[in-house]
Amino acid sequence: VTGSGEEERDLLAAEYALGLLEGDELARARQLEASSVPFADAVAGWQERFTPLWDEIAEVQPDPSLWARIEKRLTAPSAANDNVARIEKKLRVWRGYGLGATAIAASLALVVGIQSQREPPSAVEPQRPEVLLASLASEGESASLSVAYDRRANSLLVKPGRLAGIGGRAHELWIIPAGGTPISLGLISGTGPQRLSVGGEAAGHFRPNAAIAVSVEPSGGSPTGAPTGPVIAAGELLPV
Amino acid sequence: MPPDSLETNDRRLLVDALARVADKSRSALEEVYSRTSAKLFGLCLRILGDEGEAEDALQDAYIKVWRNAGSFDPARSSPITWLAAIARNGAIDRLRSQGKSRSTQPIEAADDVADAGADAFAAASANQEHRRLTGCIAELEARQAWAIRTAFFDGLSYSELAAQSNVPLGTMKSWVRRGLLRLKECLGR
Repeated sequence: VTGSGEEERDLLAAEYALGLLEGDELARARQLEASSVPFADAVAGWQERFTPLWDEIAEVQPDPSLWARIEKRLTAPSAANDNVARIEKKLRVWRGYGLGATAIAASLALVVGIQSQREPPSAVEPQRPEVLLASLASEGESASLSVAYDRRANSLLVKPGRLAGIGGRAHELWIIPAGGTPISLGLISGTGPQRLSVGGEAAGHFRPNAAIAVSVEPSGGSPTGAPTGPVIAAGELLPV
Repeated sequence: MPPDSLETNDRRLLVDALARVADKSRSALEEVYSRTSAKLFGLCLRILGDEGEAEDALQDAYIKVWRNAGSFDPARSSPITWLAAIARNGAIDRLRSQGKSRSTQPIEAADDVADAGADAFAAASANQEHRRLTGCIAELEARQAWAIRTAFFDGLSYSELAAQSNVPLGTMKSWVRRGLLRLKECLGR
């Protein structure tokens, strides 16, 4: 029995809060959480409803050394931490482009998630390598793709890993230069590898540590030339 | 009511500490850790069933707290709800990325859980909110209560719940959805 649209939304929020969803449904819920304040509120509401159940979980003291291990990760002069700060800065400029605070928070959360999984680069990197790679993922891998940039051909090879169809809307790829505004790299399809040529404006920004992101846009792409929908995956360009 | 005022005080202290974590105060994060790590570790252990994995999940959770404390909104969530969601989601992602399945109580035990376990716990609990929630869960059909509790505590997805109880995915979804609607209705009374 299908209820009203509102009831469906609330049930989806409950299913998402409980962690019942997988695949396309999970991706859809994540997009909604990032783009819809009422939906994000509904998710928080369900989490709150279930919170009293935590009383049933016995407290277990973790090993006393664990705090020191956490603190070490906070203080380590890691490139990963610097990268987080840099991407946070880059994404902050998106605020001016119609993204709500929730979407920004979600974008940051997923970028931070990516950062925490990668080891800091150890060697000094050349500034203009011939080939750059970025692995883009959402937190939890509900969306993933890889992007390779070939400087000689000035083209991109985009390989979708998981990129769920999003009924009538499009996935748009962006490069976000340090301190700059996002530049569209074109629309991407979720069905197979695809090659995109890179325009003159964007080409100069293909450097190590530039951020690449995918946003959800109306079919035909962003009407404003800047991202208007939620960011569902992001990653950083790294030299091969 | 001493228990309630204590709870309110705990909550206020955590909200304050999280605000300072957002300003990158390490001592504030340590305070959050000392107040919540035993509960969150218990939660990670329950989902992951392995001490080493649970320790890694707990570390990741507090690193996320450190980075994302600025997005905590006390008007939207209580601090323990927010913290538990971070730890639980991280533990579930970790579990699913390994493709492991855990042993959970089989659905045959659902009657016991609904009739004895939850009620016994509800009666024993000093927490009024907990009594109210478990009371509402106890009003559900046993299979609905089993599915919702197993999803919550063990982090099972729809497909895992369906496999464990040998029913089609659609059947499991309709059990859970009807249960969630009734639960919401009961809590709203």
